[in-house]
Amino acid sequence: MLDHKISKYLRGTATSHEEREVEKWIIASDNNVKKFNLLQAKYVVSTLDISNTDLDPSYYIIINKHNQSSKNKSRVILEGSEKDRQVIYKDKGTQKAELVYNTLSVPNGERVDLMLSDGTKVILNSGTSLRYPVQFLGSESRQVFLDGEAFFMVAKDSHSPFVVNTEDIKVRVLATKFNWSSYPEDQFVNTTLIEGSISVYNSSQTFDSSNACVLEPGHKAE
Amino acid sequence: MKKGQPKVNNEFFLLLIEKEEKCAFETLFRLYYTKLVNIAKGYLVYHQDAESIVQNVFLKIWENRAVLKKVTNINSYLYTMTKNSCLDQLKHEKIKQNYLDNSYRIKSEIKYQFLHDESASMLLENELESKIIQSIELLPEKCKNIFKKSRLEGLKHGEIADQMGISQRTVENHISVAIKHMKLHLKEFITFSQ
Repeated sequence: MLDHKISKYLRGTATSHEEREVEKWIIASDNNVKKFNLLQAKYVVSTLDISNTDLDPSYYIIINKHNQSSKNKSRVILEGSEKDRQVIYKDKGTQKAELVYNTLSVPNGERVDLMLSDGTKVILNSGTSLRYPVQFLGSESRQVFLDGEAFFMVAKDSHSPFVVNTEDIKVRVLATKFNWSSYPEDQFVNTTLIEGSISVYNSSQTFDSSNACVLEPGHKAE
Repeated sequence: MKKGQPKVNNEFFLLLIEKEEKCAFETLFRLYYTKLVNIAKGYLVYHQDAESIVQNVFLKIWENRAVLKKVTNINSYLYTMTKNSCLDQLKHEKIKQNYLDNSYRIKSEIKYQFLHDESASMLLENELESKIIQSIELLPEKCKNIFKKSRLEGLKHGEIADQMGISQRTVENHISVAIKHMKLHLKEFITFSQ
C-alpha cells in the first residue's frame, strides 16, 4: 500500500493528502530516508530514456549565448511549452497587419532546422536570415522573406500559396520541396526543385501565369 | 561494462571539444542533455528549473573547454556539476521561499537528504553511464563517428581528417596528446595496483 503511494509520490501524481502521508513516513526514521532515496534513485534511472538523442533546441541557445559575449547579435529567446519550442531571434516588434514576424538569423558555420506554424519545415544554411510570421493567417498567402540559402518542405495548403520573397524574385508554391539560395553577395539567385512544382517570378510584378516561369522536379533555375 | 564498448571518458573526445569542434560538443549534448534534466528534476522541489540548470552546466563546459583536459571522467564530471547546481538552487530557494512554509520545508529537506545520499548518488551516476553507453549506438552516424574514429585501426591520419572534416594536423595533435594522457593514466594504474 505504501509502496504504491511512494511510487505515486515520485511520479508526482499523489494527492496532497497522500504526499503528506509519504513525507511523514520518510522523515520518521533514517532507515526510511535511505529506503526512499534508493527508490527515488531507481525511479530517476527509469526516466532516463536511452533512445532520445535528439538535439534539444536549447543547444543553439548555448552556442549563441557564448558567441554573443564577443559579437553583438540579436537576442535569443526560448518560447513555447516544453515540447513545442523553437529557437527564435526576436525582431523588435515588427508587425504587418495582424501578422507578427520573427527573424531567424543563422550565424556563419551553423545550420538551423525550423518548423513554421503551418507545418512547413525549413532548413536554413549558414549566414542566412529568414523573416517569417509567428502565426500564418489561414486566408492569405503564406509570405516569408529570405536572405541566404534554405531548403523548404512546404506543408500543403491549396487555398494559401507559400511565397518566398527575396530581393528581386519571388517563388510561389503549393506543396513542394525545394532549395533556395539568394546570398546578397552572389550575383545569381538559384533554386533547385525536388518535388512538386513552383513558379518563379519577378518581385516587382504580381503573380500571373504569363510572367512566371514554372519549374518541374529536378530542375534548377538561376 | 563490456570490453570494446565505446567509453564516454574518451580523451580524444574531450580534446575535440577543447579544440572547439562543435560536432563533439553537440554529441555530448545529445547524449546527456535530457538525461541530466531528468536527474535534476529528481533533485529539485520545483521541476521547472531543471532545464535552465542543465543548460548552464553545458554553457560552463563550452566556455571552460580549455580546462577539460583535466577531466578524467566526463560522466562523473557532468553528473557532479548538475548535482552541485541543484544543491545551489535548493539553497537559493531556501532563502527566497518562506522557510516557515511547512510543506515546502519538508520537501526541501527530503531533497537535501537525497542529494547527500552517497549510495543513491553512486547508483545514479553508474546507471547514467550505462544508459549513455547504450545511447551512443543510437546517435546519428556523424556523431557516432566521434567515438569510433579514434579507435579505428589502420586508418591513416589523413583519412580520419577527411572523414571528420578536420585538418590532418589536428588529428595528429589529438592522437599525440591522447597517447600522452594514456601513458599518464597507465602509470597511475600501475602505481595503484602495486
